[in-house]
Amino acid sequence: MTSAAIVGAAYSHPIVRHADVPIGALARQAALAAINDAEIRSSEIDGLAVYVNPSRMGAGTTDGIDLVSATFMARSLGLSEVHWSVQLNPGSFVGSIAEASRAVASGACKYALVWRAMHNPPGQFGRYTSREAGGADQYLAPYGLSNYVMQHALQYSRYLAKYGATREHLATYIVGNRENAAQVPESVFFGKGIDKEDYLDGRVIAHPYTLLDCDMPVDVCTAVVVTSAASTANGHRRPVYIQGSASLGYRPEAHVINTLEDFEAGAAQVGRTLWKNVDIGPDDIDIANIYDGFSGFVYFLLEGYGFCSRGEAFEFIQDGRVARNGQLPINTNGGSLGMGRLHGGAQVVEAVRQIQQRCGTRQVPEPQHVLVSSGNPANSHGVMVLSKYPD
Amino acid sequence: MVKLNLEQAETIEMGTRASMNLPPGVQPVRPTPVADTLSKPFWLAASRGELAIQRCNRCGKYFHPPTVHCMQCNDAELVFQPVSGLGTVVAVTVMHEARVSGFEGVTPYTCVLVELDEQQGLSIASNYVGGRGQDVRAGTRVRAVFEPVDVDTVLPQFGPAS
Repeated sequence: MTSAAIVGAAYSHPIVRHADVPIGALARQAALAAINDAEIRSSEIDGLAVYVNPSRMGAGTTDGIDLVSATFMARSLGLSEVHWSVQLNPGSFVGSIAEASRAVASGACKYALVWRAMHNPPGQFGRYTSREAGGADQYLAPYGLSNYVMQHALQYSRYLAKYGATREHLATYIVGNRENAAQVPESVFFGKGIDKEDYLDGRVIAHPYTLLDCDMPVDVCTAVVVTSAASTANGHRRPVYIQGSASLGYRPEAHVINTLEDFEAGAAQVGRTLWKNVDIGPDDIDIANIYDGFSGFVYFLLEGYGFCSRGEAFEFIQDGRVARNGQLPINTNGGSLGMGRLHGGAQVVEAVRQIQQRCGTRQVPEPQHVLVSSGNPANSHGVMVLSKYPD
Repeated sequence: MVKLNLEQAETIEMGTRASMNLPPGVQPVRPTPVADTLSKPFWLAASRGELAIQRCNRCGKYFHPPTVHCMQCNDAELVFQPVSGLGTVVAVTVMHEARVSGFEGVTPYTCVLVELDEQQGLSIASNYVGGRGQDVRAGTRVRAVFEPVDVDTVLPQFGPAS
C-alpha cells in the first residue's frame, strides 16, 4: 500500500566536526539541496516535519543553534503557505519521514520537507552538568550514569553475557562498515580504513563500548522531500517509494534505564508493525541500512526486525553476509559509525541513492527494497521500507 | 528537605569513597537527586538507611521508578515497602571518562544495573562499592548499602553480598 515517495534527498556539505556556521544555516543548505534534487522550487514546499530533540545531554534550546524547528525552516525558506507541519519529541528522523508520508497521502500537503539537524558544540559532547537531577535523572545522574555511552554500554554488556558473544564478533561489522565509509568522499573517515586490532585495542569509553562503537558527533543537517505517489506521475526524476513504516517502539514496563529486554521488546514491536504495513518480508530486503549510532544496535535491530532469531545476530553477521557484496548488505556508506552522527540521515540518503542507482563504485546491483531505521528501539525509533516501484 | 539521621550515618559503610579512588582531600560535587511527588518516600527511606520500593497494595507488584497507579491491576493504592536489599547484577559498565560533572578524578568508575530479589525485572542502578570493579559481572550477588553524599542526601548503593 504505497502512497508516498521521497523525491529529493541531501546532506549539508561538508560534514565536519565543528562548522563555521550555526546548524540553522546548515539546515537551510540541506533543505535547498534536497529541494533542488527533487527538481521543484522551494515555494512549492507546503508541509514540514521534524524530529527536534538535540539528542545530547546538556543541550541548549536556541532555535537555529541547538535545534531547527519547523517555524525556523518556514522563515528561512520564506514559505508563505504551510498547510501542514509537525514536530516530534520523542521521535526519530525516519519517524518524521513516516509522518510526512501520511500527510501527503491524505492530501494535507503536496510537498513535505523533512530534516534532521545535529549540532556538535565545542568541548566534551553530551557532558552532564546539572547540579540537581530531577525526573528520570534522579536515579542515574548521582551515580554518574547520565551519559548515553554508559547507558547503551549496559545493554550491550548484558547482550554479551546473555548470549555468549564477544567483542570479536562485532569487529566483523565494525571493520567492514568502516571499509564502506572509507569509500565515501563526504564521510569523516574517507580513505581511513581500520583493521580488527584497531577496534579491539581501541580507547575504552564505557566498557565494553570503545570510541569505535560510538558515532562521531558532527555539525550536519540531512533533508528529504516527500510527496504523494500520485504526484510522482508528473515526472520526478527517480522517486523512491515509501512502502510502509513503524515508529517509536513500545515496552510494557518502565525502568530507571532501558534494559536489554526493553530494547528487545521495543525492536520486536516495531518489527511486527513494519511487516504488517508492507507487502514484503525480511527475505525481500536487498539492503538493510540499520541504525548504528551505537554498534550494539545492529544486533538488537537485526533480531527485532526478524532477520534472525533473538540472540543470534552476532553469528548472523559473520562470513561476509552483511558486507557490501554480501547477501544482506548493511549500511553501504558506513551508516552513523562511518558517516558521523547524522542520526538516521546516513541511512536514508544512502538508501535513496542506492535505489536511484547513483552510488558509483559502491552501487549494489538493482536494489528493489531497502530498509532504513534510526533511533533507539525502546521508545524513540523509526523504521521504513523504501522501494524502487510503487507496487 | 530530607533530614539525615546522623547517628545512623556513623554506621554506614564509609569505604565507598576509598573504593572510588579519590585523591586525598578531594570531594567531588556530584549531581544531587531531586525527589518528586512519587519518589519522595524512596529518598526518605534511603536517608534512614533503608531500601523501600513502591508496591501495589492489591496485587503486590513492585514498581521502580514509582508509578501513578498500578499498571497491572489499575489500583490506586500504592505503598513503599522495605525490601531485602539483595539482588543480582544484570549488567555492568565501567566508565573511563568523566562526562558527568563531579566524577572527575574518580575514573574509571563502575555502574551496575541490579535486579532485586523481590521481582523479576525490578531493576535499580547504582555504583559498585566496597569491592573491586573488576570482580563484578552479570550474575554477581549484591546487597544494598547507603552512602551519605551531603547533609540531606543518602544514595542507595550496591556492594558484594557476602
